[in-house]
Amino acid sequence: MNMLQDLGTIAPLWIVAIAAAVVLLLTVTGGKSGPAPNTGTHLVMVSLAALAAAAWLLVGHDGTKTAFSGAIVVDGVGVLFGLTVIAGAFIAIMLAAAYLTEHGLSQGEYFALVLLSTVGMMMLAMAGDLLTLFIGLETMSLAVYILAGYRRSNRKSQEAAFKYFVFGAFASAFALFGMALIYGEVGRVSGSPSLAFAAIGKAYGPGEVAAIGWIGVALVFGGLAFKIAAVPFHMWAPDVYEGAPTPSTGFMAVGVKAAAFAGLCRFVAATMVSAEGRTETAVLSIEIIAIITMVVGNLLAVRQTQIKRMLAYSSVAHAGYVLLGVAAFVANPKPETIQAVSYYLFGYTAMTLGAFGVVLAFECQDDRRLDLPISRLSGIGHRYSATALALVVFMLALAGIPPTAGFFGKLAVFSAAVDAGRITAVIIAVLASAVGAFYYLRIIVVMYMRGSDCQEKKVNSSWLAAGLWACAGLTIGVGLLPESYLVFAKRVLTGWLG
Amino acid sequence: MLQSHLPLFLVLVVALGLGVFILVVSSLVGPKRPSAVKADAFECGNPPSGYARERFGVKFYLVAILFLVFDIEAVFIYPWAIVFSDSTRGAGTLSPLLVVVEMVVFVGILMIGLAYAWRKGALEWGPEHGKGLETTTAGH
Repeated sequence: MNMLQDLGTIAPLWIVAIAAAVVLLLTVTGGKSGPAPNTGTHLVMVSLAALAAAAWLLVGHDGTKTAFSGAIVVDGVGVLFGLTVIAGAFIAIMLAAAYLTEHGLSQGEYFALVLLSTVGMMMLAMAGDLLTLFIGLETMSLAVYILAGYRRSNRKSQEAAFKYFVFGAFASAFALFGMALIYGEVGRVSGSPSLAFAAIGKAYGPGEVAAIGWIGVALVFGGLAFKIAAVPFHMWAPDVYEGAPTPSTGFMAVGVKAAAFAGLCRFVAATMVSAEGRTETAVLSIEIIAIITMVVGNLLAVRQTQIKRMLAYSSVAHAGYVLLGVAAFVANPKPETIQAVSYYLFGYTAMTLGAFGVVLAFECQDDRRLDLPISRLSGIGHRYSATALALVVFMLALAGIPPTAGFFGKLAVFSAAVDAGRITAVIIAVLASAVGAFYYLRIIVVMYMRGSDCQEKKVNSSWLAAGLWACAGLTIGVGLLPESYLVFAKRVLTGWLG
Repeated sequence: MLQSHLPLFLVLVVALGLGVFILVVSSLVGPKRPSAVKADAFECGNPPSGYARERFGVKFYLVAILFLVFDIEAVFIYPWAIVFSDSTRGAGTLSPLLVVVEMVVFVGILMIGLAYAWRKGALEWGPEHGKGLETTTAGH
């Protein structure tokens, strides 16, 4: 039956969604004296098992499958970015297990929200039309708004959730309005209005689309650029990253960003890539946003004294590098560029979550402050050598130093941009990442060379240790063996852009 | 393009003009006999009592949210009923069984939500109940 086939195609989505419901119900089943204590290994296990099952299905996926009349497309982009967000959720749940226990917060709701948000992210990566894209965007965002305010008795956490929500609703409205304009313009050009990417591609192809259609494209682009925190839509990032509980911040920095980039790739492939005559303008616009993003992100990160704010600006800068890859894709639409972008984001997921994991380990226990001043890392290199070594790996990776995933990611994206002939932008990007190296290496200097009397206490948790090991392993492993990832990516991307 | 929007523009001008006209004329011509009763806040015809900015129990908010969830559920069932009646007469492409199963899934998801809220104590009303919410989710 057709319906069953469709359900089989989207199995990764509903497996994770059902797991979220199960986790939620497990938190309230218990003894006669009210709900069971809201923590426990079984909650973590159910969540991780569901994510692993979804990842297993995606890894085994072959070719391009569509479901529900083309609303969901499971193809190379869906698989690669889907796996990236699953990896992000997997590690974020491990970090959260340590964090929530430490702060006495309930675990079930947190994991359920992470899982539901992951469903939205996968939907965004597998969207076959703008409507699915929007539903995925909102499913992802609504859960992440709550995750940002999870420490609801803390003012900074409340502030973060509120700011993110208000700005996010604004960005969603932009995107929705843009979709309406595109819908109308597709109808005017082709005779039947449609939100499907295939129909949009056909209508935007011959160059008959009027200015209003391109305004729609710009509005949707802006809505997605908000989620990836590209300048000038990055204003919310430092405050929200600082105020949100650290595992939420890490999840936000990697999952939301990867999913929004997946949506962006699909969206530009349907509109800008297929359009005749407008491509150069489109490439230049994205390139300018990318350059501003990496320059502003890196320069502001240098000035930060709090580590979470620094990582927030660093994630803005990384969004700029990836946007350069998107610009290269529009200029020279090849599956290899998407491969480079997804490789970058996969490595970025591991190293960023790792960095936030180390922040989590040393965060002050004082409730009024949610951030960790960089100066308080002094001496941890001598006292906690393993954790400090992990942070060294993550900082080197973020700075883009071989043999980590950060280096090969930058190499792949920048060489894709050179292939597409965007030499000037690549030179600026390389200079910007040289500035970036300064503040990443400063952390290492503080850890090892500023005195050896360390007053910090470290959170002791096997989940945290496992998460950090996983991040460090992925950061180095994906960096040392880029071939195995790229071969896989090549296989699933075969036939994409057919 | 602009020609076709002219009626819209005219409606806008007339609407604005009428509003301004009524306000200006009534403030110029209308009689003014203010009294203490007239100056009071309007509260559905009752004499106003107390200050409007009182503190409400946060439980009203919870009840409102739960109401909203099930209200939307009811709203969704109406269009579903039309699709279902079409499918039983063979009008659509869907089989009636499939349509029923889809609604069961939808209601089932809401039931999970209700079960969760119930066990969490969101439906408990007294002060000694509903502690499940506060004790298990309280941060430091």
